Amino acid sequence: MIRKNRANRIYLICTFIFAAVAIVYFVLQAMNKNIDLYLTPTQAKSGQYEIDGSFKLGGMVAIDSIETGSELDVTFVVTDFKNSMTVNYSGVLPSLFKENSGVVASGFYDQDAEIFVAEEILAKHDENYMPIKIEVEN
Amino acid sequence: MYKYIAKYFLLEKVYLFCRATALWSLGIGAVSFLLVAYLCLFILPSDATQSEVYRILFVHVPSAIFSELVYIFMAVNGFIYLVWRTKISAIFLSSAINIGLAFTALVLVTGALWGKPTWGTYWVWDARITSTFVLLIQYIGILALKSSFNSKETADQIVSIVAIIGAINIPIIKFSVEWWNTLHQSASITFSGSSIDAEMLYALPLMILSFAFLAFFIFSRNIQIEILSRNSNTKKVRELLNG
Repeated sequence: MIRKNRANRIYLICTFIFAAVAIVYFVLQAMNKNIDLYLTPTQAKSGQYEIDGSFKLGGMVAIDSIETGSELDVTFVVTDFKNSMTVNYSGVLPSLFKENSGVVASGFYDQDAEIFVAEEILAKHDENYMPIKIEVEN
Repeated sequence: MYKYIAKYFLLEKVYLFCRATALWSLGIGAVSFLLVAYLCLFILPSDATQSEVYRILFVHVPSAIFSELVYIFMAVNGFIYLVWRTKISAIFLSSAINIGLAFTALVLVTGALWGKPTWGTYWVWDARITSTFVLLIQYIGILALKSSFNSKETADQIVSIVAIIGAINIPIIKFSVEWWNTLHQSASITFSGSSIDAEMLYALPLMILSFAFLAFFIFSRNIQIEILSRNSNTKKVRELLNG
């Protein structure tokens, strides 16, 4: 008798867990587009996302694309290696900002000039950690 | 098999085990923490891109690991308690809550302090940071729930249910960096290897161990308090306290 109760409790808890997992799964599915912190250039150009207002653009800074203008003005290309977008920014860059490294820019897309005007630049750090010496040897 | 396991988890045995090991755990944890902290701060080489600020990793990563492990431990004990009605599982669950809360707060604070010099901001609402913040709220909620009932038994049952259901957040935290675009980088250490150079990596398991000892000290003291307060009017407890 006691054993039967115990089995019933296991079934009950498992049913609850299954139901909760299902609910969370569907909620996350519905929110999927909003959970992404940024859009890649491919996503931004696909037309499936709202890009009229301000949004965040993320990707890698293309090699040899950083051009510094007068004062703090800087222009560079953000790429996901399929599509790319030119970004214009005026302000202080984070110290980890460099070519071939991740970046997340918040701002808006100027459709006529085909330029993303950034108001804030965040550097994305990758998962690699390496002592200084080794990089110099390479 | 049930009886075989149960005899090792008699309340009295657990109490005496905790009382005997707590201070040893604190001693080993504190000494090893100081040694490993010296190693991390002064001996390990600086990072090529982040220079010195990467050293916060040695507090951030162990805290992150324990914030999730402690929660899994709580959910498993909640499950065992609900199915087998073993009092010791409820005691284990309640004793772990404030430890998990501390580790989650620590991982968020160290992450923010690291984020400012590397990313350029203390906080963004990306999937990893948001889901970890939700975990912090879960811990606070469970801690509040625990003391919101007159009957200990009702509290144990409700807390167990909430802990089990909330465990859904753990895989979400773990895989958030793969499922969505996040500012937080993806995992450095995976089953296929580590992208942290070996010259820095070896300090990490040492730090995790010293964190484990420190956490066990608090955990065993919590267990002692739980066992005593739940049985405060029994003859055995009076004997234990006097002897």
